[in-house]
Amino acid sequence: MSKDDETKEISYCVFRVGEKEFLLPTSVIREVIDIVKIFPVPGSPEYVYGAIPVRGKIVPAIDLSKIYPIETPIYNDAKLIIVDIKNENIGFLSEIAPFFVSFDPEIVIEDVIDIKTFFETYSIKQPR
Amino acid sequence: MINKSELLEYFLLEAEDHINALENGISELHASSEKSNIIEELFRVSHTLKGSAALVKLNITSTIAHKMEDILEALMNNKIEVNSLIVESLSYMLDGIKALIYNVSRGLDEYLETNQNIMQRADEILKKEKSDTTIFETKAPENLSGLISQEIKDSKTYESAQVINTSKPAIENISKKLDKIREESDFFVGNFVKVDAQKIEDMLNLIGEVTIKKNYLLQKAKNVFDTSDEIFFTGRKLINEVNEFAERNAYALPDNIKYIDHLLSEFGELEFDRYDQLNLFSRKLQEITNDMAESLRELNSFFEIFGDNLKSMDSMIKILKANLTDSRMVDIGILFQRFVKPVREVAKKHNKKVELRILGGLTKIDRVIFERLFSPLMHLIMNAISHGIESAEIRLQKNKKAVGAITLSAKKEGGLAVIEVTDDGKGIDTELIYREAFKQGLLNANDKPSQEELLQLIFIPGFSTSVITDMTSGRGMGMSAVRRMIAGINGILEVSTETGICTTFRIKVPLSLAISNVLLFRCGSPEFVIPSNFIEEVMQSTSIANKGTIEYRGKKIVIVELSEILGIPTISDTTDKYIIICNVSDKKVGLIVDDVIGQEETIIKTMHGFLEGLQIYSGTTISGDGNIRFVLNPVNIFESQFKPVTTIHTIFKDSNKKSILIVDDSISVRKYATLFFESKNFKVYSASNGVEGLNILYDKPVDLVITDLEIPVMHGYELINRIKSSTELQDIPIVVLTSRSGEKHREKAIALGAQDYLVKPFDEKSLLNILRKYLNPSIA
Repeated sequence: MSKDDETKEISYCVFRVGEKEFLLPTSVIREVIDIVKIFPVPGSPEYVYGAIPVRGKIVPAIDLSKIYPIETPIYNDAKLIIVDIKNENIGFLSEIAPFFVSFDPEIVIEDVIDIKTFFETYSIKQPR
Repeated sequence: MINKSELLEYFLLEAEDHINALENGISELHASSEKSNIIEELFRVSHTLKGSAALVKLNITSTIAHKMEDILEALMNNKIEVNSLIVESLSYMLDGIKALIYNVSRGLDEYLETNQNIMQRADEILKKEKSDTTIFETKAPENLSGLISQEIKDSKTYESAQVINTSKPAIENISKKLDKIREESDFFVGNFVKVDAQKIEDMLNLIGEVTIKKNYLLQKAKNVFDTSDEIFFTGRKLINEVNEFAERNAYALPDNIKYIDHLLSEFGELEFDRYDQLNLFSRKLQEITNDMAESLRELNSFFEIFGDNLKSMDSMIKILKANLTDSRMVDIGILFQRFVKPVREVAKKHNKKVELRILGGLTKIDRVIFERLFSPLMHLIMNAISHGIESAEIRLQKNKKAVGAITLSAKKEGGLAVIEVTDDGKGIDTELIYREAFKQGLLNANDKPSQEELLQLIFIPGFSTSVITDMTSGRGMGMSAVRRMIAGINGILEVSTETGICTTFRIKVPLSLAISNVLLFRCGSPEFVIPSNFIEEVMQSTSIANKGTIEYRGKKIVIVELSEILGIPTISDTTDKYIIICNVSDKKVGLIVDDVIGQEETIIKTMHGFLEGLQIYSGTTISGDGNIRFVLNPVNIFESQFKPVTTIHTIFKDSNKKSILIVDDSISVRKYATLFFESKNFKVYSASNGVEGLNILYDKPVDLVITDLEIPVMHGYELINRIKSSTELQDIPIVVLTSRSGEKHREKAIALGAQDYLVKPFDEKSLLNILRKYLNPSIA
């Protein structure tokens, strides 16, 4: 493979919840932080684990184990993977420090979270 | 090269102004008698718009603007006359431009379905002009002034006649004037700078963060000041001690020196100062402590300066914040203007004659509120036209003017903007409401609701909608929705009516959403705030006898337990909770919470997009030490179709931490223990004397007390005794940590109820054992 082809590879961030690994395109990731303190969001669905203040802004922390059938994860040393979406930030909890991998764009990769669809599907809607 | 998207951004900024100007102008054109100035202005604006749209290659926009310009030019040259058809067409064209620019601003293509239609309409008008002029031209070719003098004959007002009579100079005048206006607008760049609203938003956000950091610093600085006082105090003690010691030993002359130093053997004791090791040591000690005292003084003066500067920074940040917030304020009149056209259209549709009056348009409100007031106001105005104002015939029968009036007014009241929508229609029929409420089982036969209470019913969600379907005369379509929208901007909606005379809806919103005064309280472990303008009173509830309602100022009001609504487990039992009495549009309701912490000024941010649907909140704030607090929206809490799905998760590390109180007069013991316990993930409170310790115990949840025996103000034995004789505190284990190793001391402490007795100096191992024993067996 020539060097030009390599640069065309798409980079993903891999993180883990329970026994399951998820991927996010590196391009949407803003930062990864350690969780020191997490605040509850009373009234929110189960998958909103809580909210975390990051540089004066609020970032909801999503627990994917409440969306996908995953065993209850242990978030004691959890990392939060913060992504940019619609001028806001949301974060995904991960049991491990995420790592990065690259794939040829030809390869179909499973378990990639499409962040836009995710936001539209799971953001809390106003009651009708 | 100029970046195209950047250019577009500038154009969008500019276009907004032009559109507003056109909109105002067109609506005035309809009403005003002094038309020529307005036409001139409109001509100028559309010309500019045309030019700048062409510059950024928005050709359709440019073409429409060009057509507008043509029509306006024709008007200006009196080739056609202002009539309602033209006004309507102009606003139709403007709508087209608005739609185009809206699309472009969202990054879409410049495309308009009705484009052909618009062009056609414009051409029709212009064609008319041409045919008109051709008629005139045949009558009086090459003689424009002849044409004008023809018109003078028709014209009745002498004044306008005069203007037209001197037609040539007048036109010159106009063009001169135009040039002048152009010139002015070219050179007038002095006092104002246009700023993208988003930039101000960003700056406000930054200021918010600065404020948070500053608050945190202030808070921390206070602790540091206390510590520095303490260091200074102990330092002084040390210095005195050393000085005394040095004084005693500096000049002592032990016998042995005499024999060692032969050179000095001939001097007597008082004839030559001699030094041994002790003397030297004590002198050295004195020097060091003097240096230290000097440094301490410097440190102290630094802290004084630091504190002063922090305070002045604090006030400067406040001013900066206020100025920035000010810069985001917009005249509410601009918002009111937007209703002129819809009122005209809807009135026409209902075959009613309605005039819109605007008062207090110069009242300034926050841009964010401005935008979010539009749809509730629109709702209220539409309701007023369709249900409030009667038809012209009925109005005349009732000895009212045929033209109904809707008054939009705004004024400032303290930190609130009060906006009223008043119509002089038939008022709200409370009789009908009563009958309907009775039919729906909202009232019992025995109920004798007051007028006020009946009016409240229009805000009940299910009720209002059914009223509207049953009674065409009813008002209140979606009144609950309106109220909810107002609540979303922390506002209150009130209603009053006089049957047959008028109805007034009053909206009270804070002038600015950015900085608000809020009440801070706790429910379970999380903290919440409610904007102060919602709050009537805070009461301590000694006993909530009647669950669900409470007697308040002679009226029964509904109370709810916040923890139940939110599904939060609460800490305290019902005996010492607080009731926050809230104002929810006219009616009052009570909210039971665990603890009221106080009032503060804070920056409320709009709800995170992902959580927007949680209508019980209207925003969030972050405290100085970085705690998230949700802003509760009392209106929506009490209108709750809201079902909680709360789960509170447990990496809420802070609240789960067990806490230890350490009471010792030695700062080093306190610091050492604090660091050690904190490293083991405990929360540590410390106190330097017994009374301080006891106060903390009454104030904070503490799981273990570690105390010295010999401490100032209240000694250790008394502290143990007080703790053990208090019903509230007696279960907290107490460990004594002292330098007294005697059995007597130990026995007394154990007899008073202390669980353990450690003798100083202590080591980590013994502390670990204590932790394991009393707090957490799993500590490594």
